[in-house]
Amino acid sequence: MKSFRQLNAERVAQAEKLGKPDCVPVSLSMHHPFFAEFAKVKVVSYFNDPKVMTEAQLLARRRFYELRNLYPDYVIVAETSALGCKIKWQEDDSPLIFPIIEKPEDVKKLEVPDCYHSAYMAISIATYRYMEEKVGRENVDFWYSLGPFDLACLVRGQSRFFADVKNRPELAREILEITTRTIIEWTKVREEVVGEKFERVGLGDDFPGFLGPKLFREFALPYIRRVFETFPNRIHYWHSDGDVTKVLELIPEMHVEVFNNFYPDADISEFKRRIGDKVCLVGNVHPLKIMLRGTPDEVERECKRQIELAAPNGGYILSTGGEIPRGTPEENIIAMIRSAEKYGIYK
Amino acid sequence: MITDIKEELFKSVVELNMEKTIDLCKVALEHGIEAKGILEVLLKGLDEIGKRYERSEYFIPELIAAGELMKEALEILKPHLASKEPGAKRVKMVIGTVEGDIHDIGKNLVITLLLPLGLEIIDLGVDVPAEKFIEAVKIHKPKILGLSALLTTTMPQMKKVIETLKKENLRDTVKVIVGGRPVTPEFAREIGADAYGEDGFSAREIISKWIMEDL
Repeated sequence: MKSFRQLNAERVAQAEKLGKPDCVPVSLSMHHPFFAEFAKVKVVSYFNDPKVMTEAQLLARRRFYELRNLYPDYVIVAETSALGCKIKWQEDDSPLIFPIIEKPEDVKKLEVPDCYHSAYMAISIATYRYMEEKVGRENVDFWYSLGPFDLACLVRGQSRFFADVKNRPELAREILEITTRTIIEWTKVREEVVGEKFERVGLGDDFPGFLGPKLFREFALPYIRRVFETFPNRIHYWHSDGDVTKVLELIPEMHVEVFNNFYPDADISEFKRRIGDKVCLVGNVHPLKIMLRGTPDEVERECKRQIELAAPNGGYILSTGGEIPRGTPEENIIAMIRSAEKYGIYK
Repeated sequence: MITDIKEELFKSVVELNMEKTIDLCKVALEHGIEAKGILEVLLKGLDEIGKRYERSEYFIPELIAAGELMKEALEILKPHLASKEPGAKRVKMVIGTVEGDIHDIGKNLVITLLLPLGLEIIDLGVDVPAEKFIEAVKIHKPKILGLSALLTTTMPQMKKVIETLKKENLRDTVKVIVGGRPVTPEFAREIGADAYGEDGFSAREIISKWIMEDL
């Protein structure tokens, strides 16, 4: 008899291909703020000791029906540190990333790093190998990274990069060229490390939502698309929790197959109507208003509503808009997981 | 001729043409147009940019680019603005993103949108500890303190700043306005802020009202 974890994984695989499984699957977007708090460890220890990271994630995995695979949780830190950004560690909060391109001429410092041996990319690989040895290859993911647009914003500074897009477009393109090549190389390295189980390529770009359609077409779409085009036989996940409502129809043009954990205030019925026939949607229970601050009953009601809006005709995975926040009550997460089978049966 | 220069200048600001705007500011000064008059054209242009943003013709990059453009243009005009011009008795405002947070888009947008009000703005940058805000209040004696946070985990720093102002007997000397994506009116009330700015436009409206009421 199959476990709930196996059933859910099969349902996810069908939903990713816009199929209609027997029941709506559920996905848990959990990252370092949640894991560290849940395991009662300091964030700085979580990031700097693969054993602490692994044990924290294992604790959550066991509690929540083993739905969440382990993964080297260094997204953002890996990519930016490899490009030379300074990381300021906070004892119990997310690390701060400081840009390295302060003046336009600083772009000369930027080059595609050695993605096997640089900074937290190397630590990511070592952590993957530790996790793989601990729990088995099938229970560890290594397919998600920062996207090229967000990486450009971080190496340049968000405000400065947005000003570059308008006032110094050649500089913006130069930075994007390097960040895109970096993400492609980093993905190739992880593909090699994981081997044949490397089934997906996932990118996170929160900032393109600030661009209008014209600037999105020019400064986000071509670069994100290029990464996905380099890996044509993988399932392409794109995450953005900025408001991309005005550029929704451009998402499939980037070869995105799964759009996950998006803008918490989005109207998922509109997203379903406009791109649901081309892209699998993963979301969109509000992480703060409902998951963190709501009761289990409120979580269940909202999950039912999201399922009613987004599940018809398949291509849908129940999850949160953005990640599950630090301190989210366990019973709320359980309520979300149970809601999938309670309200998500496809007749 | 003067009308033409002013029209061209307005157009170049609205089209966010930095190079042309700087050149036209210099040309305008050479043609004897008063710095105050040139500033008025720049601010009209900024207002039009704001309207285009509200109509979703312009977006965040355009607003940030407008901020850069205004900053550069004001550098050209500053030496020519007489001491009795707007700026002489300018209301001071200290603004920053709280400690543990390096998001600056919201803060920078607010600064851009406040330019037409003629405030003297002291920007402390990002990741600003509470002590640094207090130090700035003591040194600059602003009438307004703006606090920005984009993370739920850094919002509590806003409360820390306000509590420290009270401890140092400075709370009554400054009006505090808070903003940022996770910040809510309820949170602002709870921590004892004077106002909550939902976005740069509402922050400008609130601060404008404060200035008219003489703070």
